[in-house]
Amino acid sequence: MQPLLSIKDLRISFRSRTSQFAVLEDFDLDLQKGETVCLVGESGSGKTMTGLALMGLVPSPGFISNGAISFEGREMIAAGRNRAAEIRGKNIAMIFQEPMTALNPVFTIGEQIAEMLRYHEGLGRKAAIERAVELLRAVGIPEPEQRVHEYPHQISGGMRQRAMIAVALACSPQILIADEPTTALDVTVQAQILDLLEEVQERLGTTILLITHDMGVVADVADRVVVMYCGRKIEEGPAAEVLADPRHPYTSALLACIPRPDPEATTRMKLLDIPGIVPAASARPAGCAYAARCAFAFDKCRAERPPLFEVAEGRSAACWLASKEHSQ
Amino acid sequence: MSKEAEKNLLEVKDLRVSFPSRHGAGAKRMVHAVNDVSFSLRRGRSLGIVGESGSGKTTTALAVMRLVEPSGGSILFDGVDLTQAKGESLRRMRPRFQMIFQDPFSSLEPRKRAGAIVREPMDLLGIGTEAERRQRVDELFARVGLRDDQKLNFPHQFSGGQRQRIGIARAIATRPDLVVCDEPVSALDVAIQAQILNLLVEVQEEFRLSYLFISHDLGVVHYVCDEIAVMYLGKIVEHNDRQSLFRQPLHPYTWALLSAVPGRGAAGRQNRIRLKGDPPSPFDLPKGCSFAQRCPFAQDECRNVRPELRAVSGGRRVACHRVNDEGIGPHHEFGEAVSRVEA
Repeated sequence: MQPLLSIKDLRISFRSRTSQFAVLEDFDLDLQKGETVCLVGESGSGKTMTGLALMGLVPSPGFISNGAISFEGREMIAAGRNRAAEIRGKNIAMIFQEPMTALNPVFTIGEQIAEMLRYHEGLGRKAAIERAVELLRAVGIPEPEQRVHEYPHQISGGMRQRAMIAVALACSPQILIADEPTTALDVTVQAQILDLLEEVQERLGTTILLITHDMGVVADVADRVVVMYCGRKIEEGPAAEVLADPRHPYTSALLACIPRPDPEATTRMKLLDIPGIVPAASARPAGCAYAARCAFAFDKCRAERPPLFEVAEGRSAACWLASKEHSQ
Repeated sequence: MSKEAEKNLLEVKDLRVSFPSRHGAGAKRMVHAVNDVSFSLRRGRSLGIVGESGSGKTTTALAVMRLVEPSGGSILFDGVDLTQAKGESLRRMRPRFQMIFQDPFSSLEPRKRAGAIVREPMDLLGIGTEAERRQRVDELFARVGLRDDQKLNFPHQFSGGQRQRIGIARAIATRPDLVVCDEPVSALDVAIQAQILNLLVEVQEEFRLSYLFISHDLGVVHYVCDEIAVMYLGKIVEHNDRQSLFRQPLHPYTWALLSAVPGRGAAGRQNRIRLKGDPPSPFDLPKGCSFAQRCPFAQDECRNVRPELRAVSGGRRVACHRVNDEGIGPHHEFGEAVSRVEA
């Protein structure tokens, strides 16, 4: 089956006067219609950059230095700005972590939704506002007829995130990229927003690419998960399988270092912690980028970078321990 | 247990904090950030305060530190009322209670070197001789896992986790009894968060610190705290030891909070109380229970009479009309039907 969206060998580089380095490298990803894929990783793993690349929003001095992104078989990077912009606004939309800074403070909620509809669907002003009211109602905003004329600062954080989802859904996109959509929200409101995304997906068959650092969110919503580290994909597979049986030591460590409320726990077990920090993209070591922090690293890890090995059907891990020759 | 260990190090009684505020174009009104909050903390123990934004948990912490002025109540620290202490008498108490802040980027003076930042509380409070302070800084750097040569670096040269290590070293420099931690790991990545949590637990045991630990993350609180108080809109709605709170939350809000934590999988998400709406504004506190308008179990009594924090069986404390003296509430009776309760 042809994937809805296909990323091949994507590389995003940053250039300074003296050097050039990649913040994302060798990145492949296929998104199928109607699925939820989570990108997880720590700060600097390249997960947000991937989302921005899909939207054509890679911030300067960054640029896409290699690779291809195709939507329904149509190439986007080579197509030129106008053609790509047309595909994006209408078919791919993005919501951001902090709705206060992502929404424009000087326009009303309604005007920001209407802008999308007028540009992409050619609706008139009045029709667009009417449709905006419908969209606000659909994302669970009470009294949408009043809210549509209010400014972002007049509503709560949870409502703002709902409004941003309404902006993103204005043109019924086939792909919704959500970059840490609940990180800035309280936990009970976070649950509401995750429910809303799920409901939207059921209703419209939207494909969701969810960028998060929270393994709990992955467990709740993801069909597939892609774990990233220092600008590369290091593990991919069906979410339930990866969480239950991670094949990359980084994935296992990431799962083990999260404190979880366990009602049966009587004593405190020391949390596993990963020593050190993620290396900077500009100073990536020669071998595996995780080797310095990995409890299982051996000489080969430090010398040579492991490619992604297929470890099971639909599952891969970039670790020498996952290679066939090692498991034999 | 020795007698000293049983004595309360900190006793907060009926604490109130109100701020005057101009909301929109209206007249000046009072925000009641903290309302009649009482709790106590024994030496060497840790009390977690959890709640969502606007619950008053940070304001409570700041009031205990005397960084905001309480408008009522008392804060007894080792028998001395901090709300009455002023000037020199407050300054003499200061070494004994210190604070670790949430944001390691804004809580360190950017123009000072790390060594000077850690030494500053000792300088300001006149602790030890010059040589003793220098030696203490060396010990602290080693203790929190920083290299000796890093004393000369500026904050911007450190990662977030390292900066939080500096914050911890600064807080324990004066050998305090109480450390107030305000969301000390919420700005950090999970792998670094685990490093800092382990460090916090280690230094607590080593120096017999008491922690007043503010967090919105139930997993973190579960890891660090012996007891947990849940705040909602300026009031404590439940106060229990860790195990009983996580095993059988008494207040419907605690139940909802626990069930909203992601990571329970699809089955877990079905079986939970889904709260609608946002917490009401602290400007106009409702007449009855402040949680009533979001509570799926609220009755007329809840909307009219404010429930007080009271003890139920097993010494557990809860402020809810619907929970009986055996500690059973409607959310327990309905058990399996929790997912169907939402409207």
